[in-house]
Amino acid sequence: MAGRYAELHALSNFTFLRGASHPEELVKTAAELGYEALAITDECSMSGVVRAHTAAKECGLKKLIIGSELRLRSGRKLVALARNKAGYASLCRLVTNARRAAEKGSYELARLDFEEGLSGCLVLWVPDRQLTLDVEDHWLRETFRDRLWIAVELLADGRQREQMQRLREEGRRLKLPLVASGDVHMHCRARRIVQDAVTAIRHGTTVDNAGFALYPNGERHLRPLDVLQRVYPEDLLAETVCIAASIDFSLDELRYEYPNEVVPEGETPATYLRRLTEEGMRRRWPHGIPQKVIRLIEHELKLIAELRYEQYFLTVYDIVAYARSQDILCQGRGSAANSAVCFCLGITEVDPARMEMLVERFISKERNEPPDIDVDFEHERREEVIQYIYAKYGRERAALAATVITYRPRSALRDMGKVLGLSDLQVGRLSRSMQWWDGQSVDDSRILEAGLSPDSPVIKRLLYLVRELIGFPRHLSQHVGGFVISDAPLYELVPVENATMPERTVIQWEKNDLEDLGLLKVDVLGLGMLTAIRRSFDLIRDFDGREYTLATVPAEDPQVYDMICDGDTMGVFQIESRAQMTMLPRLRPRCYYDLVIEVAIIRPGPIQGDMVHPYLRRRNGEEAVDYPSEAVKGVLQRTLGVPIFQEQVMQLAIVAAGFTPGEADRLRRAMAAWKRRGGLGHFEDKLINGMRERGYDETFARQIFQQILGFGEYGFPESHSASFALLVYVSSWLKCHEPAAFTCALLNSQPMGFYSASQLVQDAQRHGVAIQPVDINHSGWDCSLEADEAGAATLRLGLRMVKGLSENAGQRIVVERTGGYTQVQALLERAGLDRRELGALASSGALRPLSGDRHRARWAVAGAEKPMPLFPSMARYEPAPLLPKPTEGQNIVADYRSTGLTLERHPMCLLRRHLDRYCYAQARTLPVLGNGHAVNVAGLVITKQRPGTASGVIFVTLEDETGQINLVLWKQIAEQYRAELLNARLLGVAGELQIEGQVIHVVAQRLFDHSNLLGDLSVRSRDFR
Amino acid sequence: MSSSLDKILANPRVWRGRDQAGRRAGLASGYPELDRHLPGGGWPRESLTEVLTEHYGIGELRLLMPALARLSTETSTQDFTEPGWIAWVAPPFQPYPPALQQCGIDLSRMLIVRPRDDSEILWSAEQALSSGTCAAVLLWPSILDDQASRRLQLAAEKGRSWAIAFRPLAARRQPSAAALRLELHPDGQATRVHILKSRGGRPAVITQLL
Amino acid sequence: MGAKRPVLHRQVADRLWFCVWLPQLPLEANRSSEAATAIVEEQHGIHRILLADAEASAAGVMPGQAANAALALLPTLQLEERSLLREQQALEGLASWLERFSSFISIADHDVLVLEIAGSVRLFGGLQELRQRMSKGLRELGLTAALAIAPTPLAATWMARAGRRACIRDDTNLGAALRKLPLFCMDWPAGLCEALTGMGVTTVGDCLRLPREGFTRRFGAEYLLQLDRALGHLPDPRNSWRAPERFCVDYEMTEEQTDRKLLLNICRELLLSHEQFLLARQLGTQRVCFSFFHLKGPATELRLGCARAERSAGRWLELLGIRFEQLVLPGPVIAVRLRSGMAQPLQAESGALSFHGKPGATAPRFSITQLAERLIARIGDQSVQAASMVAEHRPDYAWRSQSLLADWSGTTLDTPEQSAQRPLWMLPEPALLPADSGYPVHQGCRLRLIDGPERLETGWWDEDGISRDYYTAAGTDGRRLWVFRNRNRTSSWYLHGYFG
Repeated sequence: MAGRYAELHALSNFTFLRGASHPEELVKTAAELGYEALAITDECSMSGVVRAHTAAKECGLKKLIIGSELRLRSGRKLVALARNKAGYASLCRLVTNARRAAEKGSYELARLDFEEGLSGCLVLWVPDRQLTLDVEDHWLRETFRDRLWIAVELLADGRQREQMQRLREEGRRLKLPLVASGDVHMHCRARRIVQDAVTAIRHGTTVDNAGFALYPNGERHLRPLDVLQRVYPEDLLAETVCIAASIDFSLDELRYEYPNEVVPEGETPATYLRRLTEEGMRRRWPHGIPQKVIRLIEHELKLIAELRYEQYFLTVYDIVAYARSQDILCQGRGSAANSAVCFCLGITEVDPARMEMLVERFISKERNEPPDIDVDFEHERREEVIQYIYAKYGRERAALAATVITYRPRSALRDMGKVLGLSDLQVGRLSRSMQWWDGQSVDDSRILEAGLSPDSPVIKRLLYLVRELIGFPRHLSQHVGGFVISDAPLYELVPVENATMPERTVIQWEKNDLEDLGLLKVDVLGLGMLTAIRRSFDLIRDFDGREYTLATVPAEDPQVYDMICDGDTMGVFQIESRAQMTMLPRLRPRCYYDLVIEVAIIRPGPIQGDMVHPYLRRRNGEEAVDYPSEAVKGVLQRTLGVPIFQEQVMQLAIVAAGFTPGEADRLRRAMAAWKRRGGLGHFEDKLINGMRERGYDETFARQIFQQILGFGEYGFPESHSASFALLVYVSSWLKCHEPAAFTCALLNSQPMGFYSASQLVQDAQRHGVAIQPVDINHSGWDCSLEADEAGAATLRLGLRMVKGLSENAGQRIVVERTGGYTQVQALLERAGLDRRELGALASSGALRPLSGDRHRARWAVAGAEKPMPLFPSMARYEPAPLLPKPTEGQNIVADYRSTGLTLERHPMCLLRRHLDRYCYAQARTLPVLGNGHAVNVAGLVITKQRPGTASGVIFVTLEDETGQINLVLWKQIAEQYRAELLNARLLGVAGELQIEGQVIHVVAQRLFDHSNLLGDLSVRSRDFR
Repeated sequence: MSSSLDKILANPRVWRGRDQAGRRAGLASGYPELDRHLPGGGWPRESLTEVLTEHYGIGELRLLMPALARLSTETSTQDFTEPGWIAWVAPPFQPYPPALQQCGIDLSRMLIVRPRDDSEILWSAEQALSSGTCAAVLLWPSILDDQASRRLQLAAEKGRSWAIAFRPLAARRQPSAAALRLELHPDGQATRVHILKSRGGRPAVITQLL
Repeated sequence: MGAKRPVLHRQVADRLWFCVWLPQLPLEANRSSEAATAIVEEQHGIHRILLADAEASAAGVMPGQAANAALALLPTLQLEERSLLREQQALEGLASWLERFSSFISIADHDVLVLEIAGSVRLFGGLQELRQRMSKGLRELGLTAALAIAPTPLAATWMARAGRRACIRDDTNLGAALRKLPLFCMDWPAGLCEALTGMGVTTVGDCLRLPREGFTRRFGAEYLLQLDRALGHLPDPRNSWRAPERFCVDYEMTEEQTDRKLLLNICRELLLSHEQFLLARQLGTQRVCFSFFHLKGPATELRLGCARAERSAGRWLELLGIRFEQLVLPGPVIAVRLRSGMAQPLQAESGALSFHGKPGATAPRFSITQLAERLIARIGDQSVQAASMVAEHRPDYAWRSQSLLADWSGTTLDTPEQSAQRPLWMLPEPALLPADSGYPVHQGCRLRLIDGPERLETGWWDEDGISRDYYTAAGTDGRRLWVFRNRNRTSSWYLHGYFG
């Protein structure tokens, strides 16, 4: 009979660059081998335990033990195992202290840290290679007393006999029991190759130079019971089982308490939430609350009370209330955010009356998923909110969730190439072929193209290793904004460590881990558009006193929808990309819910699932909508039978395929991960069989499954879409009615969005906004609004547009400007600018009022000198140099270089006559030429995009003096003209016009690089004298 | 030079006289049992030692290792010279550096010479011994006649070096100028050492030494 | 330029400078194949194209591109890392070839040579002829060059860089010709050129038109001085380039000789004059090669090497003595040549290998280096070796032997994690052992496994990975052996060493 064994010392790959197997692999293998228990003991980390916990439940491992390997500063190595909940908490606390005491990625442990003795933990002492226990043995025994074992790890190093003998003696001498353990680093022997490779990465060397840093053999894997029986004496194996049996702890025991201070004294969470909601109702509906709303709110409050989510809503409310008090614009989204309660609490501005929402769409008792509220804040002020949370709850109780950064094909290739001794250049070449990586292999021809032989053993080894390494965790990073806040100190729940950013701490679990354990988090995110919107509101208020908020921007304005239908949406939130702009004239959104759909539909998921065209046809009445059943109709009616939102897919699985809500939730999470990990297989069978059993057509079932696949990780929830749609509407309204303020706010919020300052300014000019240049005596740091003679708003470019000028210097210029500047020297003396900053100003043209043209300004600036203390401002006489005036071309080039845009003529105006012989048509004239017309166009290359969805097609946007031209390059043309495509800044194109409604494309057939003409622009004309 | 050398060698009294005048303490072998049987309480330095064995792999090197380790690492207390080099002339296999290191030998002071024939073996050993830079020279000659052994003995004295020649058991009957001749015999689990000849000492048998 | 012109140092009229500018030098010195090639240089961790050949340029590869972008354009592109050393060598090679045209050659920049040719013009039958011969030679050397001639070295250099095939023989035309040149030909720092261009200053002439004082205040005096030197208003002294030296001397005999004693004496004579040569330069050399010429057949060569630079004839003679005895001469000798290696400074004997005794202590007769040199001279380089450790688990790779004369210091690695006892004797290769009911047999007797296994599974990264279980085995003849069995192939036993 094979004996019984529990592995008490196993590292997963969450011991970064040491462990070589995923926690799931270890758990599964241990279960298959029939181990009594497996301890996951990553080095000073709990990052892998939730995955192991989930996997253990799935594959039926008899017992999962949570522990950690700890190395003391003295070199002593211990393995601590949590015996009960208190032990787990004390271990988390120890890990937290060790991690917080050191730089990110390392830890620091001394004897003192164990003063409390890790009560509730069992401790294995892992002897070093000298097998000695000397100075510290007394301390160890005193500290851990009857909870201490000597770990005997027999790993076929040739000294087993000696080791066994020595440790038996030590055990007798110290009166300590011995126990077998395996120092497991991988789930199977074959992983030793990966283990060697990651070891070499860790040491920053190649495998063949790694020497004794590598293990001599692959014994550190989960060994079968019969092998263990041959290696270890029976009593040592039996001891493992005893230890495992004495451990009684599972992560399921963890309980989470919401912070209590969000509830004022004398109130219960329920009464307080009700009070706040009712106050909100009166504010939102000052002229009487509709009956429908009252019913809705009562319903929601009941649901919240049943699920005991009051404190969660109150926590989010507290954060949002703080932001509001600081005048920080915010907007909630996520499954619970669009409830009427949240509207009353001010967490969202989406009026539930506006879109016929059913709260069950977002929170459901049956699904038992935690409510999810993400709150977007102005991106430049999010940090204030984060610091508020830290200040209010303290670092012990608030921390960010982690994001596990994993190896991707390119990073795996880079690191593996290095450890196999490939040169940087070779790795660089190969990483290009990674574009063709399909998860398993790379096309041989691509490797040949990189100048390497696919048959060479090095390449074979490399590809093997890359394949294995992809998906391995590499390090912990902080989640963009996922906060965990608890009532008890967090470190009793999960270890907390330092993040890269100073003053940030992260927990060792990521979002999925929290969800798996049913813990709640609040996402505090930054959103550039909120900044731009708040700035627009401020600009309008300061210009003529009109006040707007997200809620008071006039709703459902037909003019705004007209503009959107025209695809005139540059700068607008979410619907400004080229793909969105081309869809708008076809989708023709006319109401708020149309925008909700619009936001969700033009995304890779629905596009890949081919949902866009059916939806368009049905919307245009070209295709009838029929539903296979009433149940399906209930789910899909609002999107004309096409599943567009993530929630719809889950509901379909429930109503049509008989999934339980819990299964549907697992399907949702599997969907998010299947591209990386696979594993949708059993959902496929269940879904299709379930639908067939319920009388649905198999074709329909398969189509639904394909749509699920297409959704992949891009599936967009309706709850997010609904919140985003509000920002879409508000930003569109601003663009339509307040273009000067909107453009000004966008410029001040750069970088954000798809478009450059130049494009935004040209777009504003086309909409009749007058733009004033940067001027040393008129510009503020930010762009601003000035009134023209008629009192209309014009946009004055700010000093922030000047490349090379710091905000600090810009502010000084403004502060010291009283009376204006008349001399360059004054800038130096009053504003304390240095030569470099003056040079930046000269190049931008901002000094025109002082020195004249750029050439003279630059000469003047180069000669400016720091004033001598005793002779301030002694103007030095200098003969005026003979300098040519800059040409228009030179000015244009200098404008672009300094401010990224020009207010002179478009460069194409100047080049037009050089281009005339090619007969290039202007952008403006394209609509009048017919569809299918052969056409030549030319312009500056503004953007190049290779959408992930379209097969090899490349979109290029050109700009000429009359507007933008959208090019489509099919793969073959793109390959043929790749030099032009890569290098050209001024591109000429011969192609064919494609006009579909208001959408105009030029399908390119030939490309010409005219960039040399741009160089000529800055060359002066010879006739300046 | 060679003719005058021959003359010196022709008169055996010359080296006997020097020997008695310059007798020194032996080099501790690391095996107390063996040291007790050696005059001077250790290996005879500055002379030739012969080790006779039937075949290799019975501890013939282990016997020397503690002494060689000391020679390769210790600065001489007498004249403050740096540790000497250890030359291996014509070893039958590769002396394995990791094992040498485990025995405490400083590898950076090791020199391995592989001459092509016997005359080169003797020439090389003689050069190494008399150079004054080698603390010990180990050699594996296929033949070593009486005259050659005298030359090695002389070179060892001149360069103040220790020569160790490894020879087959059959060489037992050949005359030799070596100051010390040992025979090694496997003896069950251990190895037995016979001291055949020890200048200033007596023959002896030490069992269970290694 | 304004009124305050410096005192006019009138350039001696018979000075004429010829500039050779090699714009493609990085490409031509570094390329290794005929295929489309670009030279890359690392900047801030990214490899960028420095220069691309015609074929690569035609495909759109341009200077400044990232290497990856260039590869995207032309996947077959050969990328070579720039080596300034190779360029320097190529430039020096060219300089030594150009010595036939001028006795005064100066390396003006990493890709520019200037020659003073006033004296040689007549020798070569006029400027035109000289220029043609030079162009032809450069073509044959595979170098692309721009040539220009002017009365000052800077002017010639600027003309060449501007791509003007100028030939200006006297000062009167110099100013006018220079004024037209674009700014870039002066190779001033990028920041300065940018600043000037930004003021509308784009030619040398534009620079000269600026007020001198204002120019100096803004850009420093150095550049004004350059302008003055180029115009010949200030002298512009240059350093002459000299070829590195080697010693080579022949001793020719009136008739063939076979007397080895005589030959040895000739060699000694040659070594003495070699010593004189080195003494005069305070240099030494590490290599000396004798060639013994025969009337028929190839010369017999004898090479000697020293661990460090040496010039003493006695020392070289001692090494020669050891080798000369064994030298086989296939026939009588008609001439002897001594060539020495690159002359280099003498170093002090390094501490580790020398004797530092107290006064009165007996000095060793030789240093270890001298002993090794003697041994090598007699029995050959490969036969005298040192050994060092390599950090490797594979027994065959755990050490390496190396020449004693190489620049060598024994590396001893700590082996704290080291494994079980290793055998003192190692076989050159594992030897297959017969087996008897699963146990290895050595010389007829079945071995007992007394310790192990030590499992070694490693080395997968090259073609020699192992997966073995090692045991210590005892034979009945008292030997202890190190044996192993392969884990995943046949279960045969191998002998790998003896516990000596």
